[in-house]
Amino acid sequence: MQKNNQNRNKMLMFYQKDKTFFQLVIIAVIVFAAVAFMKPEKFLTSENMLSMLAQFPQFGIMTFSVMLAMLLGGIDLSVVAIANLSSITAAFIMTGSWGQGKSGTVVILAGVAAAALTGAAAGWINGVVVYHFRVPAMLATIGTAQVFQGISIAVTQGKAISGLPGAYSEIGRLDMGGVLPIPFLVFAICVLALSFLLNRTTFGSNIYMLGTNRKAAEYSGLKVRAYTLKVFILGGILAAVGGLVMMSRTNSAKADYGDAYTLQCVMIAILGGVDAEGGAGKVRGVAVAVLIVQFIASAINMFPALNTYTKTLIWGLTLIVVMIWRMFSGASHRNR
Amino acid sequence: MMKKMLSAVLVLAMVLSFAGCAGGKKEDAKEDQPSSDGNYEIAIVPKDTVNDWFQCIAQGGEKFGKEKGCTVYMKGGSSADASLQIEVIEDIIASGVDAICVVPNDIDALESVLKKAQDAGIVVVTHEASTQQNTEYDLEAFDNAEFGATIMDSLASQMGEEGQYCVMVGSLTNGSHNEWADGGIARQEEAYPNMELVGDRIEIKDNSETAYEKAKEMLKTYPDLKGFFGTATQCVPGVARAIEELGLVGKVSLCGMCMPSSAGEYIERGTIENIVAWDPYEVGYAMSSLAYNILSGEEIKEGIDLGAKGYESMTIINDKVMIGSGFLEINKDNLSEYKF
Repeated sequence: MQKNNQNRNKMLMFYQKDKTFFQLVIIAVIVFAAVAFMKPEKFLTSENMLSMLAQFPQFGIMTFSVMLAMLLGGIDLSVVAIANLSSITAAFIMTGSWGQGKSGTVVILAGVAAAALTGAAAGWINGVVVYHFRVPAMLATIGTAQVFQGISIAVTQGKAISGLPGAYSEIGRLDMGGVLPIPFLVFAICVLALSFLLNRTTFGSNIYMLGTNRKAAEYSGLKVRAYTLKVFILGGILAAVGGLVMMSRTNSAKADYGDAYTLQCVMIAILGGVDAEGGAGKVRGVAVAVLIVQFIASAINMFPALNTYTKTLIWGLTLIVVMIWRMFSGASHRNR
Repeated sequence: MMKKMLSAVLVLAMVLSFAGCAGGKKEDAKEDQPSSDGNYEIAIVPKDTVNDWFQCIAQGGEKFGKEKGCTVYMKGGSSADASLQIEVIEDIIASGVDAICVVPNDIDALESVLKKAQDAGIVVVTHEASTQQNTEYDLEAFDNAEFGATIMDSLASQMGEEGQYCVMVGSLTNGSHNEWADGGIARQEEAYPNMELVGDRIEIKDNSETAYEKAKEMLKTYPDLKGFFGTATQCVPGVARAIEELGLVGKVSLCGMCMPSSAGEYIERGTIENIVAWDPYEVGYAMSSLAYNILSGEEIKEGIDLGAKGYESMTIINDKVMIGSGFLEINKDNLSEYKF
């Protein structure tokens, strides 16, 4: 009896410590159970599970990029543009004359490296505009998004670049032993690496400090400039990874793939508990929010009678319900 | 520390259990497949669900479904984006439909997801994608070069077979628009020697406002310009408005592909004589019918009747592209017959 009580107390403490996360997990379970109950023959199939695991990584990884900018109290509306510019760079290298006669692995690795560099450079530009020119992040990244997409359109003439090495597009289709799609593996690595970086390192805790109170961070001797640039560069690289995953699944790169992801990523980040004012938000919360959004999206496609607008509607409602719950349960730090 | 590890484990466990608990279901799902009673599930995936055009295609498909007692419905993204379209197709494959009818946003981008569908035993039919590889058949309303030639014939007769004309396309990367333009220009060169093409192909970015502005620019640059050859559905309303505003009705001619709903007022006012089109209802019906025929094991051969107007006797090219005679010329007399 006593032991039971102890356990309960432990559980409660556990819940109290990160309400945001547990609320999200509960919602994910509810959504999952509801759909599984209504459409078991379609939703509870291994095909559907694998298909969902392969779908969310691309926008999930891009969401982390948005999340990083939001931790500093900013936002990044150029993620999708960076993702496309990076994957176009990779596609040029993978399909260009440079790769002729070289081994497939070398060509693919070179393309991936070039994409990461492009993403880093684009992120750096964002950081410079935000920090040095004091442009609000929202305006700055709307501007750079136009520039990045403009470059993409100019170099591709608006066409899709296809004809990637066969091995590369296999990445988007292959499952590891029929259980884990490779895009999901990439997503999992991003989650683990980013969790470690944000929760376990000084770099991470300084980002939270900077986002919570920039003045205080400055006075305590934090190099705000270096941190801003690094966060945006990291965000740019994550956007590039998202772009590479997207490229493996479309088997081509184009200036306007995934345009709709921009706002979707912001929404998922907020749903995942990232504070738009900066300084709060956990990777695990965002990861669960990504799952919730995918469950809803896939579920809608299983009901012939529901049209696409329902998806947007349900996403919006979920977001509002979560916000209200957070406010009443005291999980919102705005309330603290 | 413990909390974080536990939560990480929790997330992972949750995800894995989804994949795991589903494993046993696999066989059941497969058993659902045969449904040889004709009660097939056919999903239509349009470029987006916002456009009226695709709503009409869906209605045509649904009509076919009702007649044959099978389920036909539309599922698509909220904007014309290849990535969204791929997500939708992924979900539809997972939900185990029998056939998918797609109007691709981007032919290349869809190849691998359509291959996945075919590998899963799903019948794939496309429309407006004559170069798509991973499809059973691509259904075309008509031969694109001929369609362009017909636009040219109509424009030429309005212009008295002489004078300068220019060509507008939605974008330089749009496959069918440029094929129509090629066909039209070829016809002019061969049959109307007194007509002259001026300027490059004008890109209107699928926007009637742009078409309007470009038309005004062209009429300023080429004062003797007498005709506009339109391809994108936004060409006609944009150019017609420019013609009206500049008081050039009767002096400058225009013919192009358009929907009666957006060109109707200009036809009624006499600003333009006619437009050309194909009927999206019939496309939806014909695509569903083609998918149904393939599913029920009918032999698909030259001259097959898909039961839709303009698709009664299909021509097959390269075993992949199926061409009908769904061409429509719409003028003052028959305008009220078409509701798209």
